[in-house]
Formats: sequence, C-alpha cells, structure tokens
Amino acid sequence: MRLLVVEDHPELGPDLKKGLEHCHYAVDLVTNGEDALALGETIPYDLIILDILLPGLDGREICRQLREQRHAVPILFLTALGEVEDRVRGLDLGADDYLAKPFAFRELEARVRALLRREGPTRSPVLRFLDISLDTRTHEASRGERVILLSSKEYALLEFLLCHPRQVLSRSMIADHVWDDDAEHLSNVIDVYIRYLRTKLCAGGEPDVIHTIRHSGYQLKEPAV
Amino acid sequence: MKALIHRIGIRLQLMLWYTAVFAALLLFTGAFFYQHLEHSLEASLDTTLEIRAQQIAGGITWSGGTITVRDVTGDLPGFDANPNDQRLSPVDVNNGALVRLLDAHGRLLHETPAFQSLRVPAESVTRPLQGSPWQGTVTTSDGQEVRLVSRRLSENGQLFAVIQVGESLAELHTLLHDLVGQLLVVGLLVLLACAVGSYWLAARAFAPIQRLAQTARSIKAGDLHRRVTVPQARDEVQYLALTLNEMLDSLDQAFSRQRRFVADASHELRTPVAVIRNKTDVALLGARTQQDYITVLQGINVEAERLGHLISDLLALARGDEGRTQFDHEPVRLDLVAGAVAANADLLAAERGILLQVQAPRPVTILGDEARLIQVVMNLVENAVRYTNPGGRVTVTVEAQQDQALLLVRDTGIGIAPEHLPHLFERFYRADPARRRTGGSSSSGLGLSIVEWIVRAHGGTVAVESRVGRGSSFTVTLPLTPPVA
Repeated sequence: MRLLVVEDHPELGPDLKKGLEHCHYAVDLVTNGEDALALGETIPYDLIILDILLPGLDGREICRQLREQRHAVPILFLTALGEVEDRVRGLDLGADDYLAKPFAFRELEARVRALLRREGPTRSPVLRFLDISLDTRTHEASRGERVILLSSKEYALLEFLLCHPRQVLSRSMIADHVWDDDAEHLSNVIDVYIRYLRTKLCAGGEPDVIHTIRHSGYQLKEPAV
Repeated sequence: MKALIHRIGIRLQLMLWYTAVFAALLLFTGAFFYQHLEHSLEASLDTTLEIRAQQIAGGITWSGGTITVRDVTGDLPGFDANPNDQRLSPVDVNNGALVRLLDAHGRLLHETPAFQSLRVPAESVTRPLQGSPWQGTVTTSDGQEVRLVSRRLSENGQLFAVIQVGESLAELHTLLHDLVGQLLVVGLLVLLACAVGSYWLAARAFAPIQRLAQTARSIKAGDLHRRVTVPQARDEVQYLALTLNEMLDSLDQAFSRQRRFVADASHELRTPVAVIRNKTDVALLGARTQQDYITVLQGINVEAERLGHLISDLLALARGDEGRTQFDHEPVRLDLVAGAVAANADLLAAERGILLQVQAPRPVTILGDEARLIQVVMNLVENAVRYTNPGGRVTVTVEAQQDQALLLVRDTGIGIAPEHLPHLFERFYRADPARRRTGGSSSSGLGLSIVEWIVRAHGGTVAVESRVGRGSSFTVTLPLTPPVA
C-alpha cells in the first residue's frame, strides 16, 4: 500500500515515514502544499496523511481540490488544530478521518489500517484468500497452519494482491502501490519479487495461486485444476 | 572583535597589521633611545657636578681642626656665611647654586640658601663619611627633582669634611620632554606614511588576483573551454591560476559529458516516439483489417515499454547523480537473487536458444539494497543474453572470497573489441551501434551504467574482460560487510 505523507515538520515528517515504512507501507514524504497536490493528482495513492498548516498550499485546500477533481483517495488529517470546529470543518471538506496532534503512533497506525480496510474486499483486519491469510495488525502471514516469514517488499506485494483478488494487476499498477517514489523505477524487479513470494507460498507443496498473465501482469486466482 | 576583523577585508587587514607591527617597533626603539639618552645625560651631569665640587673644594682649607671657606668660583652667595647666625630665606633651586658643606661628624658648616629646600637623605652624608662617594636624585619640598653628588674632602688622607653639590634636573627634563614630543609627532607621521604605503602595497600584491578573478568571472557556463592566464612567476598566484584552470577542466569535462548525455538521451527518446508516430500515421492512412490494427497496437506497446524503461533508467541515474537516492541496508542473499533472476530470464534465453546456468552452491549474504542488487544481476544477465548467439551459454556464478562477494556473469557471446572496453560503462555507449535493435526490446543503453552506479554505491567494483568471438566476462566484487553509508 502506498501512502503520501504531507508534513513540514523537519523531525516529525521523516519519523512518520520511517515508522510507516516499518509497517511495510511504501511512503512518499513531501513538505509543502504544491508538491503534495501535484503528487496527489498524479499518483494513485492508497491513503494521504495531510497536515493542515503547511508552507504554500494549506492542507484543507489540497483536500478540497482533490475532492473537486473526483479523487476518491482516503484522506486523514493529522494536525495540531484539534478544536471541534476544526475537526468538523476538515471532515466536511471530504476528509475520511481526523487525528489531532499530539497523537500515539499506534493509534495513527490503527487508523491507517482501518481506512485501508474500507477499500479492501472485506472489512476484516485479516486478509484471506483460500488458505492464505495475512494479519495486517501483526504483519504475520500464513498458509494453512504454516507460518511464512516475509521480507518487507514481499509483505507489501502479498497485501496488495490479497486486496485485489482475481483482478489482473499490471506491473505498473503493482509498482504504483508497492514502491515509493524513490524506487518506482525499480518496477522491472517485480517479476523477481513475485518469484520469491511464489516460492515461499508454495514451499509446503501447495498449489500456486499467483498466475502470470502474459503481456499483462499477475493475478491472484484459484489454482488451475 | 574577531568578527569585525574578518569583516574588514584582507587589504585593510594587511594594512592594519603592517602599521601595528611598525608602531610597536617604533615604540620599542623610541623607548630604548629615550632610556639611553636620559642615562647618559645624567652621567654627564654627574661629571659636571663632580668637577664643580672639586673647584669649590679648592677654596676650602683645613688647618688645625679649622675649616676656612673661600668663594673661589664667585657664584656662591651666602655660602661662606655662618649658617647658625645668618639664615637667608630659601632661594629657588633653579636659580641659586646648590652647595652644602658638612664637617667630619656630619654637622652642617655652610650651605647656599637654595639648598635649604632640598630633602636630603641621611645616606648622602653617611656614605661619604664611611669612605664611598654618593650620588642620586633628591626632591625639593615642592616636588622638583635635583641631582646631587656627595664627596669627601681630605687632607693627607684625613677626612675633614663632606661637600654636596646639586643641580636642578628641570632643564634636563624639559629637554627630554621636548624630545618625546618631537618623536611622537615624527612617529605619527611615519606611521601614517606606513599605513598609506602598506595599503598601496597590498593593493599591488592583490592586483594579479583581482585580474584572475575578473577573468574567472567572465568565464560563463557557455565558454568553459576558456582558461585564465597563468603568470610566469612561480608563486601563490600561479598556483591559484593553475588550480582554477584545473577546476575549469573538470567542469568543462562534466559539462560536455552532461551535454552528450542530454543529446544521447533525446536521441534515444526520439526514436521510439518516431516509430510510434510512423506506425499510427500508416494505420490512419486507410481502412485496415482488425488484425492490422492489433499489429500496430502491439508495436506501439513495445515501443511504449521501451520508452518507459528508458525514462525509468534516466530518472534513476539522474537521482543517483544528485546523490539523493536512499539505499537500504538489509541482508541480501546474493545467491538467491542470482537464482531468481536467472529463473526469470530463462524463458527469454530459451527462446533464443541460449543455455542459462547458475552456479551458486553456498549462501552468500551481503548488506545492501535488495531491489537494486536484483537490478544489477538482471541487467548483466540481460546484457549477456542479448549479445550471445543461439547455441551459446551464459553462466552466473556467486561465491565468497575472503571478505568479498563475487558475482560473475560469463557468456560465450560475440565479445567486445578492446577499444570499447574502457567506455563500456559510459551512458548510452554501445560497442556496436548496428546491434542496438537486436535481442531484447527494452535495451536502453543505460543498463551497464546503472550496474556500475549501484555497485559503486555499495562500495564494490565491476570489471569486464572480453575476447572478440569468444565471449565476455563481467565480474562484480562487493564487500561482504560494506560500511554503513
């Protein structure tokens, strides 16, 4: 899942990026309103975490413009403006959630998970496909009874596949949601990561569920009979 | 204070230093000169006083315990009078003579009126009585300084009196004060001249640097082939000029590399665009069958993919040049990476009739950015497959040697001529321009540059050996535990 964090605080911004990356999200960090709007308009983020008081464009304005252009990306305001009046105004602009600073990182993490769940196929924190399950709270993956240890990239890839079961996902779609801006050009290594993931998922002799669709991409699907 | 010194500029700084050093020297010399002069003037005054004492002593006789005084010099009014019955009022020490006579017991016999205002230390009498002469500076009751010498008088080796002769130091002090005043005026004038002179000298010394700066300033990004003139003299300015020229050299090289890179990049970008344009133009000319349209769209798709790869690679290198690419530092199993990449490329190799083998029997773990290391192996393998003819073989080997991890990609391909080897990792460099369209569809001409950049960023090296017609061998050496950047 790829997140845009808009935060101009020189310490908090990088800390948020680091913390969220630790939860296996691909995170782009920008520190001003103009960049935030430009990125929000062009890259299909799964979630935008937005500060309100920003140099350049104000966070509310970014939210308003994105909604006006019919971008449905979930938006979470993370701001020091914590009055009831501010919260109401922010949510009425089209934001999906509002968290006032100071906040507990665990709460932010849980809210991020909750917002991302709304977009997924189920509202459960545990993503499942056949006998594969992925707990987004503990970052644990298993197939049947077998626990699978995943690297950060493998986890992100599996999470994205599990959120879009049976859909054909092109490499660029995968790259857009699994890699951050810094590593986006590395999309040609996706094939290798799919191979890693496939090997781990089938290590117990289970049937393959990641199908390669030639010239198109990949699809999470019931194994061919 | 320090900040102020740094702000006032080197010319003014030099001038101030010069002047300060010169002022110190001047002060030192002046003080020494003054001391010396004062000392010798006092010495000559002492001599004069001694002579006077002898002259006066010439008029003093001692016979049978009686001292007779005769004013031989004629300038001692009231000296020969008896001090006990004739006390004259004290006279200014500057006008009257200062003479006093005491007997062998230190009792006062005669004194000139001016002498009465002197504060004479007891020592000046006791010392001559004990046999050694005395001289010193005493003060009057109103603070004026007087030089005084005290001598014993004797007849046939028998001490009978002590004579004291003094002279006011006022005149000497006036002389010295005048001298100090003159020295100060002259010194200030000299210092002023020194300041002006040093300022001028500093300007002269910096003139070549000024000229150098002007030339350097006139060299703009457009005419980096120009150089500053190097002066003949082997000095700091020549060194500066040489350094500037060296800097211009490397800037010039960097700029022309950049220009060539941009030119190459736009050429490479233009080609797929031209192909797409051409295909659509032809397709739009007339009604075609659906199969034709599919063919055109597939062709466009291939070119678009090529464009996409090219842009990604350009972006990666541009970010690398900027130095703002972040590399992960996580343990990476290089043997597994090689295996996975080879397995992925197997299909392409098999299509071209090439045997792709991996020899990675033991785990080799390094610290690095996994995704980028995958890219290194991928680019090398793709490159090897592209330049190997059907029936050939590509071998990927991963092994650990001491503290280094080795990745070898060997092929039995067409090889690379020796003259191309040094340029192989340059951007868009192609050993054989005619071959650019054969093989894989996504060769950007940047693959090996990217390999070189990523390997370098991991603290490793990449080398190539090749023999035309026999094949090439790329060797990547990576530290097993690279320094954490």
